[in-house]
Formats: sequence, C-alpha cells, structure tokens
Amino acid sequence: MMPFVPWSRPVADDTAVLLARLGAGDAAAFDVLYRREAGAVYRYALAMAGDAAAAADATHDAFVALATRPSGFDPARGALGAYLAGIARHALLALRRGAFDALDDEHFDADAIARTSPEDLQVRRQGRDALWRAIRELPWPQREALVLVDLQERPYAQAAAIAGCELNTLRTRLHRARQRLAALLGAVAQELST
Amino acid sequence: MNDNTPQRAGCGSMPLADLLRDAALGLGQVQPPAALRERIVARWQPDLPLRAGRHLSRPGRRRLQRVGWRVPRAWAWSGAAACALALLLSLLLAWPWPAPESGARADARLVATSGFVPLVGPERWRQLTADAATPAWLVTTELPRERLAAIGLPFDPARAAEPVRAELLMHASGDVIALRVIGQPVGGPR
Repeated sequence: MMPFVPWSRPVADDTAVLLARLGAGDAAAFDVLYRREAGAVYRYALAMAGDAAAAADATHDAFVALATRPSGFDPARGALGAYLAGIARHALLALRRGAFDALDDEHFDADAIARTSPEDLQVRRQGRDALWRAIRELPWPQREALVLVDLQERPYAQAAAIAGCELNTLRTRLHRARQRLAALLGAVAQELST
Repeated sequence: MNDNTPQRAGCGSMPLADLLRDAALGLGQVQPPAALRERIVARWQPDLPLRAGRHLSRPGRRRLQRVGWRVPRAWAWSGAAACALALLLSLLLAWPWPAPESGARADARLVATSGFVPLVGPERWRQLTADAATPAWLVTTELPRERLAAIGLPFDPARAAEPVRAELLMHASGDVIALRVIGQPVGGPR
C-alpha cells in the first residue's frame, strides 16, 4: 500500500505486501491481484480447454486457492502468474481425468529446433479459426508449449515451470508443436525440406 | 483445412509466425467473464457483501458490527450535536473561500507533471486527491492501442490492435482513476 501520490515513480513488486493483506482477508488486495493476474490465467485455460466454462472454472479454482491460502505461493519458485496458471492447469487436467497425451518428448535435438522457427515454416494462407482448430488437434503437452510461448509470450523458464517439465523438454515440445501445426495447416513443400 | 499435402510456396502461403501473432493478439484481448470475480469472492468470503463494505477486512467488519449495537444510545445525545454541526456547515458555506482551481486546469497540470491522464471527472478527482491518507496502487498492464483514442490520446490506426504498456492508478475502492502510457508493448525477444 502506498499513499495517494500520483506523480510518484512506479512501485517495485508489491506482491508480498498484497499477499500478506490477502491473508488478513483484505478484499482490496484481492482485487489488485485479480486484476493483475486473472486475464493471463483465464486466457491460458481458455486456449488449452477451448471452452469458456472450463476456463472460468479453472481460473476460479486458482484464485480461490490463492485467496484461502496465500502462503501456498513461494516467490522463490517463480512468478505468481506461473503459480496461478499451474493451479488452473491441475484443474483442467482433473476435468480430463488426468489424460495427458503422454509423448516421447524427452529427446532434445538442438539443431533441429534451431532450424525451424515459426518464421521459416510456410503454411497456406488462412484465418484465425483454422489455426485454432489445428491447435486443438495438438496433443496436450505440445499445445501447452505453443500456447504458453507463442500465444502468451511467456519466457521459456516460466512456461516450463507451468508445464512442470525441464526447459529442454519444453523446447522439444514447442518445436514439434510448430511442425505439427504447420503440417495440419497445409505446410508448403519448399519450407518443409529445410 | 487439414490437408497435409505439401504445396508450393507462393502468394497463397504465409509464415506460420504471422498466423500465431494474429492469434496471440486475439487471445490477448479476451477477458475473464465479469461475474467470475464475484463468484470467487463469494466462495472465499461467503459472508462478505459483494459491493458495500467489500474493502473491509474481517476484523474491520467485526468492529463495525460491535459499534452498530451502540448506535441507538449514541443517537439520544445527537440532537444538540446535529444543531451545532448545521451551524458550522452554514458558516463554512457562507465563508468567502478563494475560488477552487477548475477541473480542466487541474487535469492539465496533472498531465504536464506526471503523465497521468485522469479517467474520472474533475469533482471525483478532487475528492480523491484531497485525501492523502487514502491508499492507491500502480498497476502495470497492457491495453489495445485503440483505447488511447477513447481517452483523447493520439494513436496510429494502422497499429490499433497492438498492445501498449500502461500504468493504471487504482484507488482502494477498486476504481481505476488515472492512466499513464509508459512504453512499447511487451513480447519482444525472450
């Protein structure tokens, strides 16, 4: 909390203060945290579930968990947004009864990953709806990597923390997600051969 | 649309990155349903009224409840106090105070000195700034660039969908009372 001084410099990260106030039942602190984090959590859940009701339920579970037990968040383990997205992820997986689309994605090929950026992959010209249909066809781990990094522009380390995997595993999933997505969207032969 | 047959590159093709950027922009504009916050608060603090007094913590509400039982007795002594208060108020209203600064001038000074653009009316702004003890928070966020036009700031229509970083000054009541644009959108190199 700071006094009302509109011409002051931006405050440093006040998450710890807000969480302490939240623990004391301060609804104003909840409002600040909700406005700051709820959008990203909801959008992650919506992109993963493809269903507004499931996304709202997952976001609800994440914020109820935070509000009832703020001490569950450990800043040493990552950002608050990643913590909340992680709870929402568990809620979404619970809806899927734990079906995780297990993949052999542990093999890390740095060269292959470096060769295929989304700038290099050419696909047929098409609209946003076609892209979302193709994203929904990706297996959960690949879709998650794509949503977190390419659509939400989260840092790789944070995306790996949310997905509960190693950094290289996340890179592998993202690489395969992009390739598979390009194939689903009608990849152009010239670029596939690179 | 899921034709996996490779095609030749040409005017009918585009980089996957362009499609992903477009989807990211669309996704970034999605907001949680308005009722979700109320649903969470109702689950978290079922006894908390959704609007009035929602800023009070649990100890604060208990204090209010205790004071509430004493109010009827206190009112028995309030007649004389009310008369004195009315007299004082009439004196204050009749006093030749200097004319207050106009809302527009105060707004202009605020914009010039801090970069914040008020999002509330001049009267409300004066109420808020007059009380130095009232808490407020700076919340960093991203807004679609086209929103700048809605608050009278210049923007390039060709980049209307791009986000722009801004600081919101949020009052303890939950109202966003001022906005300051602080830079270019996030999302550059990771």
